[in-house]
Amino acid sequence: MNTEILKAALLGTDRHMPEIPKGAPEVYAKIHALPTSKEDRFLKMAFVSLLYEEAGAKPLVIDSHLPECPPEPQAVVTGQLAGWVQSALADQNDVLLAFLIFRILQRNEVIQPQLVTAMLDKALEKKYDKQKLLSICGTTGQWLCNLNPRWRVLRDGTEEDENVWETGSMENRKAFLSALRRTDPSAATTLLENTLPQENANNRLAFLQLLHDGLSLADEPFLQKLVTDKSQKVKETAIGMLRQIQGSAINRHHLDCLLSMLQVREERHLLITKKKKVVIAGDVTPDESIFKTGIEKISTEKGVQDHVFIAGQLLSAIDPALLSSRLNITDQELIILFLEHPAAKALLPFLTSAAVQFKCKSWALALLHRGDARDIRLLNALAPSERLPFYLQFLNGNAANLFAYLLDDTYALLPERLAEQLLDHLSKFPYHITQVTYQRLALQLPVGIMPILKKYADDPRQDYQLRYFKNQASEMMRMVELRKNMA
Amino acid sequence: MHIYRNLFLAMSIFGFRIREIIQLMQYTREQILQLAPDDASAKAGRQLATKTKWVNAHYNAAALWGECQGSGKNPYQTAIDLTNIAFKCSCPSRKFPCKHGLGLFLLYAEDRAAFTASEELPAYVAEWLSKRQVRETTRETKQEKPADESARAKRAESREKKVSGGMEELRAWLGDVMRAGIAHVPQQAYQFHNNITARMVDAQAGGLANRLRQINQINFFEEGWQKQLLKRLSALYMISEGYHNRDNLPASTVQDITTLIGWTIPKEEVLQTQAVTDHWIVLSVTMSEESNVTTERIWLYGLGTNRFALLLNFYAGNQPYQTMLAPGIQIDADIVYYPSSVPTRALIREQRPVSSRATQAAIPNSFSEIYNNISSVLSQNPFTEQIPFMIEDVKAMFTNGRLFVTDLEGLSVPLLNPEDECWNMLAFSGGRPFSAFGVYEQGQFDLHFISAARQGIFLKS
Repeated sequence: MNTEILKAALLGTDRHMPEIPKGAPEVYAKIHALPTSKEDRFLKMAFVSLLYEEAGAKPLVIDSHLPECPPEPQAVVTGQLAGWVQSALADQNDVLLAFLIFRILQRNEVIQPQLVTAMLDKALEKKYDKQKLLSICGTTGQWLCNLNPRWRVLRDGTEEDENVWETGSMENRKAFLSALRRTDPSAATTLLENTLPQENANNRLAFLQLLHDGLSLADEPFLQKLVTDKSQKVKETAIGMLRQIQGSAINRHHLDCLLSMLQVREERHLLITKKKKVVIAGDVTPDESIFKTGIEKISTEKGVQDHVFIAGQLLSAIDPALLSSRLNITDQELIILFLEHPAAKALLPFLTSAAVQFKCKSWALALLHRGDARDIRLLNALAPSERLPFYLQFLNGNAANLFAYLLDDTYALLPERLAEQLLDHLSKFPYHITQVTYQRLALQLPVGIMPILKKYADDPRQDYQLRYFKNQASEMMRMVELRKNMA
Repeated sequence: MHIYRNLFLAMSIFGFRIREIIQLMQYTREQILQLAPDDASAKAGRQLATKTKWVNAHYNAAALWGECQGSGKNPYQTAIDLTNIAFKCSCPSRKFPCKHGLGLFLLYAEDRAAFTASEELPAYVAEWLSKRQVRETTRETKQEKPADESARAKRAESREKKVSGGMEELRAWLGDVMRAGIAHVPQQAYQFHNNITARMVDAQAGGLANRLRQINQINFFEEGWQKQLLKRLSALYMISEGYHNRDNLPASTVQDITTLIGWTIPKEEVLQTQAVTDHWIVLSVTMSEESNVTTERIWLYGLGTNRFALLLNFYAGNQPYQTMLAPGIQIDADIVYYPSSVPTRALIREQRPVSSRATQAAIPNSFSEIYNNISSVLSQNPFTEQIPFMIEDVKAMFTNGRLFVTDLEGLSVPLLNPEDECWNMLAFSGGRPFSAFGVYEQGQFDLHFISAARQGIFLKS
């Protein structure tokens, strides 16, 4: 009956009136017999027919089976922590969410099933580590990834890993190459060797720069080929990398040049003692060929002598330990001699660069003790416990760099004294770091800092900068308390 | 509005193993967040739910109060009436409840140790509570003004005339539409009923105007629109027919027809009717907005009487919400139903502090039974659009990318819930049996709440 009704509805009662089939309920015949207009009879029949259909509907029988989600072997996060995860997801508070994910992983737990869909959606965003998020989603996460094509990519890895290099976006290709470089450095080089000629100059440069990670002598043949690349930037980058590879032809050549320019002499001091000094020979003319290997002839800085500048550039890519042994002197002695050199100021950036690149502890210490170091990476040469006295010298130059260095993925608590000093600095220059960094900092502040934070939060002064810091201090107190309650 | 936010209950609603719950303990963190007027307030409230933000915080059986240091010189004074949840704050926020109220309530739910028990109320709390008490008493004793019967009769007669005129025009319009056929409607889907809708507003038949506006909800790009449109148009015709023959119909059916046309029954009149006293549980609270009017739908279930009740509230513009009920909350209340052949819409006449009790409810576990109930409701009131239901021991099932729910007998029904809600349901249930509360609408089933293993989530709130 419904088909007839719908046909009439579409065509209009002027063109078609539904026929009442045999065996149809009596009500249709009664309506049909009414002495009213066609439209009146049709609308009544339509209403009855649709009502009959709805009131007489039966549930469906579907031949399908959904496998149950396997039981969760890990403990499920409950209580306050579960509430915080829910809040962080709802508020899109990425700083807090990252910390909570870290904590849940640390506790070897999984989130409640009802939060899994939101977390899987987060995992699809670039900024999160997919594996970590998938891991805290437990078996529910795996089960849902099997069912929903949108999340399947999380389970299977980035869109068909095999084709990423050929068909993926630039970001995906870079991620793929970086990952390959970490797991199998020579495979990454081989991949580039085979495919780099088909790439444009920008891509060649971008991919080449990724080889900095895990650079070794095995990369020399490949890099050597790029020295003749059509792109100047690619060529310079390849040469720069060859300079850094200890034992490469260029590096050896630079070492030989440097040794020909450097001399450690022993001179009599105050008639009775002898004192060593390092001499950079100004009369040794370096081989012209080194100026084709990334070494500049003349400094752009005023007052820097050319031979000092050349020696500095050579120094920056030579392992201090190797240089010291070739000069028959310890690395501690050598850095002292360089720093006592009349042109020490001009040499500082090059010495710093060498200390950073080769993580030379004695050089790093000597440079840090001067108090005017600018490269925070010098701290990497020291054990974490040895770094504390040097942090503050980086605060005034570029506070954001120091915070980026201090705020690590392990959420290690900062020493109370350092935290105090950082807060003191921030109370004077509250806009040196962003609100997100304040939140991040709060997650690494020790509980003992609470009275100091309270002092800042209760500061009655109304200066606009102080007011801003006051709000930040108050928010940091909340985060410190949250971390404390989570313990 | 946070329509799709999930909520969790620590207690089991289905199965009704209700533990000792005292009034103070009733609101969980998630339920308190449900009281927030918007997401921003909920977020701000969460950030204030830490004791460092409060200069002091106190509680007793009647209220919570505290002082929160804001950006101003003096701390804001915040108080919460616990007997019949209400908020008061000295901050200048126009939101209700404000972030301070929410923060204080959340702190109480999460960290009771941050509060000091105090029998003596500070002046600002005592004054506010006594004012509330006076208002309640005044409301109860408020006498209705003697009505001018002749003026009322005149107004009623005038409206009857207007409605009758409008109804004739509606019938003529429907006749014209049917004569020409509906095949061309999708080309002018949103305009073809504009004039008649405006005419219904003029004829003081607001209910019919709303029904006509609902035609806009039909997706004319999806197969099946023909049936949906025809259903709406024929129902409008049958309402007019019912109005025409009202003298021959039972009183309850006439009441249904007049309500559908747009006649309202004064609240005071409904409140005078026989109340149903029960222990009620809030099954869902949903908001929807249309033409700057927010409609709040609160579904309640009486544990003793096994009856559903729907509280409907309408808020214009930024009008603050009045009902402080969140999903999962239980109340002891006297509820009165609007007269109808299938009474569902209701009002709370009196709400009392909850007294715990254990009770058993008979929940069906078969969709056949649910469909039987739907048939029964439609036979009493064929214009019913929403029919609530509860079911247990059902499972989710996937077919052709669509989610169904299947009962123990293997009988399935399609779901109306949006995709994200379906995935949430699947994640929570893990493909295992669960219980559910939902609403039948337009031949499909919209789940609002599901529960399994003594936990539940609200798919809608």
